[in-house]
Amino acid sequence: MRNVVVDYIRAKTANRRGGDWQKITLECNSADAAGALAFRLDEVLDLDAALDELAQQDERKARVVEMRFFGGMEFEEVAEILEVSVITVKRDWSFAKAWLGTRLKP
Amino acid sequence: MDKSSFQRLESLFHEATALPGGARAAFVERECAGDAELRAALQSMLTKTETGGGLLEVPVLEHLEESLEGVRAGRWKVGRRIGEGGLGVVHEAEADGVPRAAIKFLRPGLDAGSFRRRFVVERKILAALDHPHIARLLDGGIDAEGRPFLVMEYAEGLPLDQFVSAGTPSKQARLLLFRQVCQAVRYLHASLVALGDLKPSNIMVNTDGDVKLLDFGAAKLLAGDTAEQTTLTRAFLTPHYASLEQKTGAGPSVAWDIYSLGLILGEMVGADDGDLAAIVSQATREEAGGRYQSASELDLDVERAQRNLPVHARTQDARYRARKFVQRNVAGVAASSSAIAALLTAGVFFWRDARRDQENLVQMRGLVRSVLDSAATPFASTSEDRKAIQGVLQTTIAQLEKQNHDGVELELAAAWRRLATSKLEEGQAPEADAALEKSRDLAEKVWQRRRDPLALESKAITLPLLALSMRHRANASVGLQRAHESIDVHEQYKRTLKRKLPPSHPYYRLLVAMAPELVREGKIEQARLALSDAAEVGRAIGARDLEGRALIGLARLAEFEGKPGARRGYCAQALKIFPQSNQFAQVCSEDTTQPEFVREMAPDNRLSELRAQLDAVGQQQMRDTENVQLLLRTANLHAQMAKALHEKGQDEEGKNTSRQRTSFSSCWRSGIPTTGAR
Repeated sequence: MRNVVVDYIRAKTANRRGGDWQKITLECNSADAAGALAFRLDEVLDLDAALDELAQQDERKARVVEMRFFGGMEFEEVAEILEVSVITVKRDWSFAKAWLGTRLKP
Repeated sequence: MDKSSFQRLESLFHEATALPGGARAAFVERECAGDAELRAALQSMLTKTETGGGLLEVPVLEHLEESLEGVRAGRWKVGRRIGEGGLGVVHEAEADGVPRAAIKFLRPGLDAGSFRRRFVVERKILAALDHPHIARLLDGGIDAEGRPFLVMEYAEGLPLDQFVSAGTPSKQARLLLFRQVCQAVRYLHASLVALGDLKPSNIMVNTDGDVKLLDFGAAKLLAGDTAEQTTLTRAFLTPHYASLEQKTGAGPSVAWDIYSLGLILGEMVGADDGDLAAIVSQATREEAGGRYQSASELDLDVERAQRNLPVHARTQDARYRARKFVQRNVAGVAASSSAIAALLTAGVFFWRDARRDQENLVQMRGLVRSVLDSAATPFASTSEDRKAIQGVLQTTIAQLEKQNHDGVELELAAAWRRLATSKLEEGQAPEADAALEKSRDLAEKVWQRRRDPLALESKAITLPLLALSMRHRANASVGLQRAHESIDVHEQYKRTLKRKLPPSHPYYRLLVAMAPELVREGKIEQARLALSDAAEVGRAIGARDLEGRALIGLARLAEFEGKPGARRGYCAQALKIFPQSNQFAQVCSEDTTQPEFVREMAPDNRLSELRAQLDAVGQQQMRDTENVQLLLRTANLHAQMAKALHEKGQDEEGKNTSRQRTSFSSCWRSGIPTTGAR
């Protein structure tokens, strides 16, 4: 799943000239965040690299991020697949989010 | 950053986030003093957590999502979004002549390459299906933007799980719903389609109680699909309803769907109905081979449960089968016995008719085995049940003995053993002993004549029962002989068949009981092995009594070897297992415990309690002819208790205890039970 998305984004960004950061504003379902969400496709590629780094330190945390972010899975589903408790998944997720967050361009 | 710093960072992060916001800065300063790199990393992570937001807050596919509402796809006008699966999003749609349909697109970002091929497969599968409980395919194609789409019949109603929880339909109604699902799945399998991702949210129920299966995104053709598609499918499975081999990646099969059906049934009917619980458990076996082999088998068994007929899932269980057998013959023992007699006579007739024919012998054996299975003990909870079973067994034995029983000796041995177990439950020990001796002799004869390993197994199973049954009675010396024989035979059995008796077998209790005897004979290592084996087996199957007794045995061995440290360790473990004084007293009064360290094992504040319990045990033993041998031990325990009580200054109670001891030991000396007065 992660590879599919990353390849897809890589293909899209490769077509663009100059490689500028292109912001794409997307529709969002939740009303309070409507219109506010903008994200760079390149950011996903940065995340992909940072995830490899995280996997070096802790394979499971990287898997949690893949399943949550790339797979859109619930905590319970991730816990079941990794055969750990939901609390463990939640802890992994909060740590990984902060850790990866410091490695992505602001 | 190396591994240990990373781990330190992680634990500090969790500690810090558990603190209120204001306390974090001080925490970071304190914990990271002198480690600038760690402080910087932790600080920026905490800042990140506090500000929130960022890429990871929303799954990537939602970032990529575009609304499809209002789009035209072929002749269809796309309406509001009504659902989504792993691969696709589903919207309402309408077209001329069709006011309402469901249109499915691949998720944006997935509408290329292998996913697109997967979508084509789904369309191909759907196009070939036509069943009242499966949503029909209306149309399919590619829209102006190049997105492939499928249009399905719109299924009114609620998903199955919501329907069941909202309407609380009766059990019969729920079973009817479930059977519709089974029939749809049966149709699919007959069409060589496995669903792969069957779950309640993909099953719609309308107000008339009609079921429709919806999502075929994970479906695959049982023939002709490719490994690539299987891999893709697996990435999107709903884990809870996916079977073990599906999650771990074995090939797709009908067994996947059977497993999901089992889980769905379990959620629909709960666990309080024994028959349905058995059906669920057979449908969800971990090994695919143990599940129902088809949806129709499962459907049939649910139907049998509906009509209160014995379900196949349970008839596989011998105890259940035997209970049904007795229930069917509740009018009396005679009916069941004569039915068996007739069956056996017929079998024996065949067998005698062409005895040279090996096949007939095999059939005869099978027949006897099935009788034994249906008479399996211990299942009989009432004495009537037991009488019925004993009637069946005695008839079987009589029939077999009347004939020349060459070739079925081991079956006959098993029949005697079953009869003995049932007699033991009734407290008829002498009859049980006689039956067990017969069983042993038959097996011994076969072993001497043919060296058949199964004869060895039969002996290994029978001997411990015999030894344990004889141990406390007048023929204790024969019991001891049988116990030695039992251990030797089991060793031989292990060597010959490379396996040992199952943990639930009484053999392991015998090992514990025999250990002191082995020590007495100087076989220290053998005793240690026996006890460790028993403790391990007890722990493995959660048999606390066995484990506790084995630990007490090990403590005693340590005592014998002059290792007080090890002894205390075992004692402490045993006390943990027997927290109640009465259990403890019971165990102590039996034959594994040395009186000397009862004192040590019982905490001071529980001496009186323990004494009272031992009294009760002794009183019981005085009334019981069979167990009078045990009284001597109880008397010795009392002597130790009295000593301990005097040491603690509890003289009055100590004196009472001594008096009690005298009465126990004189009773033992006379060998005559009394009515138990002081």
